[in-house]
Amino acid sequence: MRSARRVARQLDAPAACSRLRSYGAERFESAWLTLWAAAIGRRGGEPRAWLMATTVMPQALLLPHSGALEATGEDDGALQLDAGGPPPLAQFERWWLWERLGRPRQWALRVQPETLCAVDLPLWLGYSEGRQTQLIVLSGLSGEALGALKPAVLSALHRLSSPADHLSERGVDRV
Amino acid sequence: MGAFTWLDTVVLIVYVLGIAWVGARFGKDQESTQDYFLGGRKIPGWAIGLSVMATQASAITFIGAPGWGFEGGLERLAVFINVPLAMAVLIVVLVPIFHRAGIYSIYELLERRFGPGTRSLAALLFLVARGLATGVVLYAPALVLSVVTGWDVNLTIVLMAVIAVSYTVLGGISAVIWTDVIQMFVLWFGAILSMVLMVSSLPGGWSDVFAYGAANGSFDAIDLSLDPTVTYSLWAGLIGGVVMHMAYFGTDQSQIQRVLTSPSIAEGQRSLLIGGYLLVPQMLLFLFIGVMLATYYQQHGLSAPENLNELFPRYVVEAFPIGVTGLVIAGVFAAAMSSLDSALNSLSAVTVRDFYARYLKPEADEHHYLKASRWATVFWGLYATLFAFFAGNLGPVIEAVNRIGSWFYGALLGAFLLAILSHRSNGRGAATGIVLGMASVWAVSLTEISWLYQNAVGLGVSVVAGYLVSLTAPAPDRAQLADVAIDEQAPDMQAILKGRRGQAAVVGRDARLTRRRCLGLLLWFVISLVVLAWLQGWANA
Repeated sequence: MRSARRVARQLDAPAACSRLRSYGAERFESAWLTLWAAAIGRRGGEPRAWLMATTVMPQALLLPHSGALEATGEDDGALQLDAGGPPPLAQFERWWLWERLGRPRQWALRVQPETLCAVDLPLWLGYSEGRQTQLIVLSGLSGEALGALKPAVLSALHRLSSPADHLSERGVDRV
Repeated sequence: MGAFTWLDTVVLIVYVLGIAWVGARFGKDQESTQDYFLGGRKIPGWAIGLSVMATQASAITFIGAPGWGFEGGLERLAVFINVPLAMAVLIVVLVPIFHRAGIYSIYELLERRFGPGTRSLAALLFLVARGLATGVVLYAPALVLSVVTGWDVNLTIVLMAVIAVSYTVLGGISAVIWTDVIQMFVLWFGAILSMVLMVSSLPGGWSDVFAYGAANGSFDAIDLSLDPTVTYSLWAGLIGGVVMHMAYFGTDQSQIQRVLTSPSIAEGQRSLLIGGYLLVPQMLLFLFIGVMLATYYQQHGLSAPENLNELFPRYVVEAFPIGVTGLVIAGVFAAAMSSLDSALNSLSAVTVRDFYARYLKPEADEHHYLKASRWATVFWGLYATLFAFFAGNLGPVIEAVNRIGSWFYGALLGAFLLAILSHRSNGRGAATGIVLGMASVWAVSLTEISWLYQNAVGLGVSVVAGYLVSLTAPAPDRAQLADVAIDEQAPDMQAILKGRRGQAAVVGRDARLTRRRCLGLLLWFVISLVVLAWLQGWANA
């Protein structure tokens, strides 16, 4: 049981539909993926970005976001996916270090430990039917395909489908 | 005209300082921070593409390709004609897997799949290869500085190394995409201006160039010879060159880093896509300038410099209007700095991440790693400097860079293909494959066979030997295959996805963006080939 904040959805259904069509999807639905986020910024300052991850993700998602996250709103009927527990803070710090070694900038910015929280990330899930059913994970912010999130989404769908975890549907175990 | 004047020096200094100022100014403020976090999403795709081109090989191309074209005409294009095909394979096969794996260093994938030994071996090969190639990249602007000032090239190598290492340690400017874009335009402007000036100095203008080219076989870009000792045959380019470029753009950390850190697959693919379209025409432009320089030298009864890398910088200094010379030479310096910054940074990142933080100091804080990465930059700067002293003996710099890569790339790509395509292969096989692949490349390099084929030999031996040796050890477990086996194809996952699909809303007609993109690249390859064949046919008619 935990309360999550959320990143506002910026891509509406028609835009997502159009994007997913270009990736070959025939059916689609909206979803929220709960990840664990830690802010990147100067101590006491506004977050410049969020690193978002769970224990099942090998790499954190870097989300540019200078403002505060929204409180979770009303149930919008979207599929709620829980991608797993929070990685240790040291892992977030290590991810941030690797990010900067790759593109050496922003050394003044640090992971802010006190900001660690669960955050719902808006997604659009597309399904294409060929020889097998394929999943396309689209960002609800930029509309880009997020292949890196696919293992987390598949793992969450798997968890959702097992009877013991059915209660993690939106509105049942979330405050 | 005729010399590098004080006005050129002023232009050069103002340009370099201006670019440095833009980098420092916009590298620190909020706008740049957003750009950093957004991975360039707010910046037009064409600007990102030009930035990619600028960090890849612009200075090397500007300096080396005209000398190469002077010597051998357009036949050298065989080395690059395959780039659209290589990019198409990367976009379809490798990039989605790399992206989904969630890795910061490309060699991390090999560790998950084959174990730490294979990762360290591959990373070591990258460090050795990229370090050597960085020596050639360092040599290029040093040579230009030597031509401009008349100083000894060994002195200018040391000078350029000090500037490049200091610049990289201080943070570099390559993160500011617009400075890279400016550099590309300055270089292309220099190229086009040189064409205009050369043509206007020839009595017959363009007809002199085409007559010279036709008479000397300079437009014979397509050599269909099956003889493996023909260095620049179409087959050498297609068989060896494809492997070389797939390995260079797909398994060299300095190139694939941008793809790995991009927020989505599409953005990662975009830089490869733009390279796939622009590299061939850019190379054609600079090789053609080489043919024009050959005509110019012949018409004016001039003797070419012994070192053909000096050919184009000398022409720029001697023929360009005062002030413009300074601008173009400054563009070469800035582009070289961008390439060096990018190469030194990736060398230091791999050193720290794949070796130092792994084997020597696994639990240090980030200040320690930052310091270590700066010392690593200094080390690789010294390594590159030592090699740069010998780079002048390797012929055209653009060929030297690719030849160095060819010693390593085939075996490296083989390890990645084994990891992705063969679920039976394991660490023992992959490591053996790399070693035997390298050994076979060394053996082939002692023969007369075209150096382009070395890439294919390295790949073939590494894959076949790697697979066969893998059969002598147990197959990898499910966890080791997690990055390369697609979870969604498992029967239980298929049942879940079909269930969700049944409940989801209908989208509509079918299309596939990635496939469309790759078809465009294939079409581009065919068009390039047809244009070259037409030019060759016309010249020989």
